[in-house]
Amino acid sequence: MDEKLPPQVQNQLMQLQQLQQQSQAMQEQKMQIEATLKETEKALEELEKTKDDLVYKGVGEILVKTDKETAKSELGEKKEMLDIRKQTLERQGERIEKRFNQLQEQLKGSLGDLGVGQGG
Amino acid sequence: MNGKEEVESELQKHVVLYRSYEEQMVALQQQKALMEMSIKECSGATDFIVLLDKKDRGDHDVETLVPIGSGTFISATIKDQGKAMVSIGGGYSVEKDIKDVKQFLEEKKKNLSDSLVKVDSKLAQVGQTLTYLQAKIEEITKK
Repeated sequence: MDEKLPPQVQNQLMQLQQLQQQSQAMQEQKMQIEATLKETEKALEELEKTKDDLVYKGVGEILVKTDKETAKSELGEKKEMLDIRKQTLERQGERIEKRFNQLQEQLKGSLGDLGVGQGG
Repeated sequence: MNGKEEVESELQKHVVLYRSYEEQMVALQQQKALMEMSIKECSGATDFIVLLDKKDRGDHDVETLVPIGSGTFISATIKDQGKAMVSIGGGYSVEKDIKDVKQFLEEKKKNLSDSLVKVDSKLAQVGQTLTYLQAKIEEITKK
């Protein structure tokens, strides 16, 4: 079917599909980051609750003793980094969505010129 | 585009959508299986903690068998029955009193169960959409 469309429309369609794939990949990344962020926040909450000054850090299969303050600072840094990554992804997502809408409008115009989708 | 091409285009659009929802369905089913496994693990840990909590603490050490894989166990003694190490996420673990561990695990299980309900509802939605799309594809194919 695509072979019969003008090259310009085919190109627009391809770009639209690429943008859709990019948007989907970004959504997945954002979901993963949000899950890690939630886990980090919960870990920080639990560290606040614990009375002990010593906590354990998982290194491979074993747990190594470390102090609570080091753990809090490490998790705090991780949270900060994840927040920044999330914001960056949100901004990229907005840009992709904007470009997608623009391209969709252009494509509608191109298909309209070809007489597709008018009057069934 | 003539009528035949429009039908083909419509069919292609629905097939692409169907495949995308099918992928979503598989991902959700995998997520559900993982959650169910975590809930089961959580229940197992809670059962053990409850059992440990019932023992007269301090009177005697608890003899146990620890799995080391492939159905093999080694004998071990639990020296401190009043405390357990709990993973709190982010790669860290803290020592907690048995009663706090029980509460922590119950809370974790509740969160997992709530998420499972959401996944089930999403699965039902995706299932409905797939049924609709399948019917639509059959309808277009008949044209």
